[in-house]
Amino acid sequence: MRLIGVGAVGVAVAPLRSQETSGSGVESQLAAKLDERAKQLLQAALRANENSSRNRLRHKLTENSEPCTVFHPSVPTT
Amino acid sequence: MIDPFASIAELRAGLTAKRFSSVELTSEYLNRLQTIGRKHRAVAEIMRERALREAAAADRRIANGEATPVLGVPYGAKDLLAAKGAPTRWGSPGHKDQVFEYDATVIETLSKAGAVLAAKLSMIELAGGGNYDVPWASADGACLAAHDPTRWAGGSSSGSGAAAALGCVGFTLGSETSGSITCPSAFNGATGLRPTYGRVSRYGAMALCWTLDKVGPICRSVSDCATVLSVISGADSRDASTSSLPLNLEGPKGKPRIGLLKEDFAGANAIACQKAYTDAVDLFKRDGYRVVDVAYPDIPYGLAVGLIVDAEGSSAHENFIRSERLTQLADVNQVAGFVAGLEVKAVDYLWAMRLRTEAAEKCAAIWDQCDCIFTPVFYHRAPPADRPFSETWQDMGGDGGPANLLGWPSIAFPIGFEEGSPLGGQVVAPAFREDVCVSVARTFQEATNHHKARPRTSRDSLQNGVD
Repeated sequence: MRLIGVGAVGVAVAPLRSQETSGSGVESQLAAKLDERAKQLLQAALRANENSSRNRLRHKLTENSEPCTVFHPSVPTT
Repeated sequence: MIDPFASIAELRAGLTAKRFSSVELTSEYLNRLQTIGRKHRAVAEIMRERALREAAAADRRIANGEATPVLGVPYGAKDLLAAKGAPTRWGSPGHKDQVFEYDATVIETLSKAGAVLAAKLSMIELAGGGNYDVPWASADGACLAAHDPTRWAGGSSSGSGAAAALGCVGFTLGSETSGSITCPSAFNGATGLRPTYGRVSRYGAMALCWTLDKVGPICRSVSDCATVLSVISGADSRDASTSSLPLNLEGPKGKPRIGLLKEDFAGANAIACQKAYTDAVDLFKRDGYRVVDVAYPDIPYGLAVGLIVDAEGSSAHENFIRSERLTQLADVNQVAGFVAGLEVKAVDYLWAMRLRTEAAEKCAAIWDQCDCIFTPVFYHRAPPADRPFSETWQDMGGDGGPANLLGWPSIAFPIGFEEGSPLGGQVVAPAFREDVCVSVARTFQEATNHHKARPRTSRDSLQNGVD
């Protein structure tokens, strides 16, 4: 069990798995059994993920810039 | 005599003048869907019972003197839109038993306006979010292009593009995350309007990417697209992304300045597209439009879109991806792609979302130089329907710019032909300026007949074997 501090409150979350980079890792989380072709393609797709992770670093963003996601808290109705 | 290729305005005129009833019009389109539509694999589900019920109701409203822009006009909706009680399979063999007990907002809105839902139209499974590689990545098989049934109808709104161009309905609805309205419009010689993100409610539409998905019309003309958009746009409390900014399609004052990107026709050996594009630009100039050369800021738009589609798509469909039904997908590439999407890192996704903020700021400057951008949808016609894209998708070009990432609208329309198959151009405009898209594209269609070219297919020739 890991605790993530949110302000003064400790929020319990499930243990985090280390980032899977092998097809067999993520495959073990699936209910479906992948055939050999799917396994090969999954390996290739995971390599593409890694390439994207590397390639994006070539484009540096302004430190601390905001993503284009905004959370709007609900206004209490009572 | 009913002309199934008539415009929405012409169909409405025929209904109002009682030259034909909505029931008769609907029956004609149902027959065409059953024959031509099925042969092209454009149909996911024919909605005969609902269609005839809605048509009879429309006839009563017309008899009472009511009029709306789409009253009594049959249409088809991409199978990603929920329709009460009907199968909504999202193009996926793994969702073949899925039925929703409500209508998507756009379908509900069209029903209230008196339009007639005649069919759910075929699509690439789960809108292709797992990176499909084959035209037959669909529960309905490869959808065949309207003008050449050996070629692919495009995706992911495949059936919407084909059915509109084949005269199987009065108009259609498609959706776009990244190219899914403009692509089938180009490959079928249809006219498709991708609205600004937030212009049209997505409630009841399958989510692929919450921050990229748009619902829009695919029709046979710019005017038809404008008519449909005027009906379906608007704020919806059930879709927080929707905007209440008013839609005014009457057109800008004066002629918009048209921006032209640097194109590489020679490098793509795109002789037919170069001629079509040059002819179109010449037409705009003759009509008094000023054209200026422009360039997008050098930003990795495609990389950001890819990360967002992978992360949001796999999150949206996580339950399915982790289920035993995953391997029922028609394209094994999609199986692998959706699983890999589960592994996209949070920092990578958030980089893409931060990049959008930066890109929005940098790209805004382009609208100081021009009011819209004209560019080919692709450099070549549709690829063959029976081979993987990894073998055929070469030198296709395409707008790799920020338009989808930044939610800009675009209208795609036919500008010429390559060996008998249509080529599409598109007009991209700033957010919430669909009026500019419509104005410029309407100028083109008023001066040309490319959008009126009818597919050579007939029921008889199709029955002799398109398959």
